[in-house]
Amino acid sequence: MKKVFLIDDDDIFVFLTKKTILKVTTDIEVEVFSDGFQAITHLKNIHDEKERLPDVIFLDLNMPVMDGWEFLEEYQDLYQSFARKTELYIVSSSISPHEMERSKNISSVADFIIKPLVKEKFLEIIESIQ
Amino acid sequence: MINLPTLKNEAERIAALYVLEILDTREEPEFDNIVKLAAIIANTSIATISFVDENRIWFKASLGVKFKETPRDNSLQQVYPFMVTVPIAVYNNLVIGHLAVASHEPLKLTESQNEGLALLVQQIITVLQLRLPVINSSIKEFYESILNNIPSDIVVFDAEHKYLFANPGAIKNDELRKYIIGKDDFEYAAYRNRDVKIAQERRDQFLQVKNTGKAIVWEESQLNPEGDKITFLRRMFPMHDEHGNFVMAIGFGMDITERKLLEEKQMVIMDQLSIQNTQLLDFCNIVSHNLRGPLINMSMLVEFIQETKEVEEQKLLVSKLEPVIENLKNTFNELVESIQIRQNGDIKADIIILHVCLQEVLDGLHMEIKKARAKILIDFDEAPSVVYPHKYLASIFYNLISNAIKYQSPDRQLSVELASRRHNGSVFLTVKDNGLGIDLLKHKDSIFKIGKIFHRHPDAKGLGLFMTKTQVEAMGGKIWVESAPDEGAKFSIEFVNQNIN
Repeated sequence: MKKVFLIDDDDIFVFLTKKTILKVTTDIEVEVFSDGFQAITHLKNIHDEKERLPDVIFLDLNMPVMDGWEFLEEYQDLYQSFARKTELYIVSSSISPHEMERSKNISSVADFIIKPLVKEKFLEIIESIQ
Repeated sequence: MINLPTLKNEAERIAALYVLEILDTREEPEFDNIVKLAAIIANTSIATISFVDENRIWFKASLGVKFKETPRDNSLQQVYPFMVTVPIAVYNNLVIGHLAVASHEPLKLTESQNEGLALLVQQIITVLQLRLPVINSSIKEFYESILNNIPSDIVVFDAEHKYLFANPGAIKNDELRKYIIGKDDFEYAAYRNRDVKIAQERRDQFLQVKNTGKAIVWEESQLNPEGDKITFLRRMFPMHDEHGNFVMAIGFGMDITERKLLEEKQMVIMDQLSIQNTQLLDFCNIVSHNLRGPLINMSMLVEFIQETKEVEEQKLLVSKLEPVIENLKNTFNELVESIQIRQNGDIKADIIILHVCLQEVLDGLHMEIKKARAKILIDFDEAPSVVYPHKYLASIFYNLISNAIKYQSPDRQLSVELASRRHNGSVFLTVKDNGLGIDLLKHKDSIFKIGKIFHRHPDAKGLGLFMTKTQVEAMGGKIWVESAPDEGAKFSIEFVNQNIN
């Protein structure tokens, strides 16, 4: 069973994205974190537990408490110590070229996806991590 | 033999000759007498003073010779085979002519006769040089009239910092200008009962130029008699003689007031442009974060509604549309309002009594304040009023106070302190709380940006501080914050141009 972490404070978007994911496959578990701080705290706890770490992380940028960029600052060091390979995708409603450029310079970011996360894109990602 | 000048320095030679303006002048007793003396010394009846022009030899004075000029190939020697010539050389040995004595008989001069002729040549040169001041003075007038009419101030100092020259640009009054020659700035300051500070400054600058041997450039602003600020670009540079000794300093000043004003205008425009550019970027951000987000949700919801066959599922999805639309509407309204604020540069400002305006806002927030059990402390004694659009001020109060309530600490009773101070024509309003505070190290650049939320709260939209900043800046003011996590926040606002009340 695949495992996905969804880090986003927008309840409706989370609800819809979960629906999209479940349409592609039901053989999947989605865990939701509503800000970067909750997510990073959890990841720190499980970084050496292969079973509990996700295959994919979808990260929003604009969140309260700890936003996506702040999350990435801490994640950049943390993911090297992961017991397994995890792919992180930024999923943002931003269309700012500046933010896309900024994300390219962060090695832990696999890609920048502009919302919404459509079925086709998700399928592509899931297939790539077999 | 006539010592014909070499071609090598022919151009220089001709130039030196022409400067003297001697060719084709009428007979002059000074030269005639020299010719007579030469004839007496050499004991002959023929003597000439000739100048070698480009293509001819021209006789300034002559004794026993009938012609005024001959071709340059020296036909005189053919007529007078016995001839002694002494070159007339000026500057660096430029031969411009000759003193000659000649005879039909063999001519042999003694040493003292030769010496006599050499002395006469020196006399000729002296007489020629005496002609120069006439030319010199016209050159001097020529340059002085240029210097005097140039729209800049020019002064020349000797090695002791005494004035050698000042043009009317530097000192307008003719008498003062004459007075200052040979004096220094200290004497001038004493003479005119002026502050010696300027004289001392000038002396320091002069010494710097003199000691370093390097030019200095500086800008200087002063008020003219009409009270307008004039700016001068000044330059002082040293002059040295051929041995490298400092001989004088030349001071040069140009009125650059207009250029300066233009520069200042450009600076203001640049600042405005840079602010507008930042605002534009902010707007891009808002559109992508705050408008695109809900729109995507809406289109996804609609897509799912269309796909599903189940009525219950449809109902659930439709119910989720409502808050999204509400969110979009609020953001949209705030955006429209902020654009209106920016465009409404000439909104009417009134004298607003801070107490009255604040009370209106507190009344509106009555329920929230009561619920939060907030203490509100007010000190508007020093500056009881501001000149400002009422709507903006009310909105500023509303946003800052409702923020303080939203982000109060659960560990202590909320207190909000409001105070106004007056300084340099501005009124400073501070709103200080003891709430959660903001980590400024992390959020310094983003605090007043739209869509930035620091704490989880149901009402947090990240629009309040952005709007507050817009309203403050639209009136030329400033807003800033001092804060640390869990130590509360202190917002300060500067209202400019508050001299009226």
